[in-house]
Amino acid sequence: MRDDFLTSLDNQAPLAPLREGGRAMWRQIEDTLVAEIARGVYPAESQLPTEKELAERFDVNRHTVRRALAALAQRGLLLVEQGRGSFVVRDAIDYALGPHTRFSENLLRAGKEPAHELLRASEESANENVARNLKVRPGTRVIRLETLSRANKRPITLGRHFYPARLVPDMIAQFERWRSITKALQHSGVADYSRAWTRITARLPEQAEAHLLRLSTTTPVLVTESVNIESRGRPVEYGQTCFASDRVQLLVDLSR
Amino acid sequence: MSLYTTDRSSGTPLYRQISQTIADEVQRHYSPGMRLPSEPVLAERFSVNRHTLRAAVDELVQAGLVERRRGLGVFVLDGVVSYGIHKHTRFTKSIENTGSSAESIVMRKQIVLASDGIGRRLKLAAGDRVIWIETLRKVNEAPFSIVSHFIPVDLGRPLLDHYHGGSLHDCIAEHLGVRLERQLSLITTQMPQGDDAKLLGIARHQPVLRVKSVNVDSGSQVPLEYCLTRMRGDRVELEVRL
Repeated sequence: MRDDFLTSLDNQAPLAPLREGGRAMWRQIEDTLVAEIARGVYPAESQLPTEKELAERFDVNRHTVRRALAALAQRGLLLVEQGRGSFVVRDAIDYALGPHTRFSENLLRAGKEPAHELLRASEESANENVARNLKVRPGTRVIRLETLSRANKRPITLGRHFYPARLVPDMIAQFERWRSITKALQHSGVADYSRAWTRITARLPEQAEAHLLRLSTTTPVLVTESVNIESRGRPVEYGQTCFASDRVQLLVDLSR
Repeated sequence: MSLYTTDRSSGTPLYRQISQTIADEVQRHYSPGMRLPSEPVLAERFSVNRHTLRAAVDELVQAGLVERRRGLGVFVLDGVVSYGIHKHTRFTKSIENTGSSAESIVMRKQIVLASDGIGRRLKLAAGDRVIWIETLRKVNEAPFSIVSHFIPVDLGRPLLDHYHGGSLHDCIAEHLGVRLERQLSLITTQMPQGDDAKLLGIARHQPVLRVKSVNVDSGSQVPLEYCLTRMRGDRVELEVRL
């Protein structure tokens, strides 16, 4: 085993990430492995090459590899079993989009503990985009909630939600109390709601989004836009949600 | 009144006045792919600080009108094609219904062993083979998506001779005598792999939408086709209404 860090950096193996822009070597290795896991080079539940093999492949010392593996374990992508090696966790959540789309139910079905953090809450006037989707006039008062949601403590979605203030004036306090959008709506007088439509696109995350979702800025996010309506068909919520694409896939089940 | 003035005494926040002004100009004077003046230049023009200008551009990003490309600037996005996902999702038909032209070009047709994932989705036994058809789809002559279709070989063999482009599902109905419908789709995104970026005409750092779908015989509900579609993330918006 070669253990000379400086020498190893000078002798780049063809498969090693190039040392670029001040990004630490172990970070680059982490990014490479994340991308390979996402691509299925190492499928779920398969074993990753040993530290020694990875150190050879990336032409770095084992300490650097260990640091990258620790970061992957920290992100919940790897399970490191003492003495046996590192295994890829089967962890992508199938997030079902349907008439009755509920964040918490989707996570509980996947065996994950849901949690919401409120990043920002405000009342403001609706811009044209929000107004069009909530079917109100631009300038109408709307409540805006920004949330970071986790599955078993791993951030998976970043959401921006808008509600007509007249319909659910108490929404911020209710959300702070219940930490669940469904419950907050119920306690604001919206007994039930359903999904009218969802639109899905993909893009790279902005720096702040990547930071909150603990993604690299080169891992794309799925972005959904959606409208929920109450029983009489009025929009109660317009939302824009970023999904960490290495942890969630959207499921559209048409068999029913 | 100058086109460019903002009114600090009106009730509308400054950043929103700016974003509306920019949005109007984009719609009138810009075409997709063009770059906006840099944020410092815009901040100077509107006599606001960078934070306010940033908030204005954030609004445009959220509205899907422009995107920030790191280190390069703010670019006007292409007109987006909305593509519905439902039981009877049909590429050729749904694009033609919007008044655009649709085209499917065959890039590959061959028999391969079914991989684990495909075998599971199509309920095949280990060692079973599938027909693999790779198509490039275009909308108004611009690349739109790449699709890998997998069909059990027992059923699909006639396609090797009969499918030469156009609607695959029409060809399947005609030559195999079955009507397909969509059973499920799984949607993810990733950076383009292999030749996809080149074929789709996008940069390697532009994400693609990936849709894995299972199509079944509309009568017996037996899975007959698995497909993996890669779409340009900047040209397509998937729409789900259930």
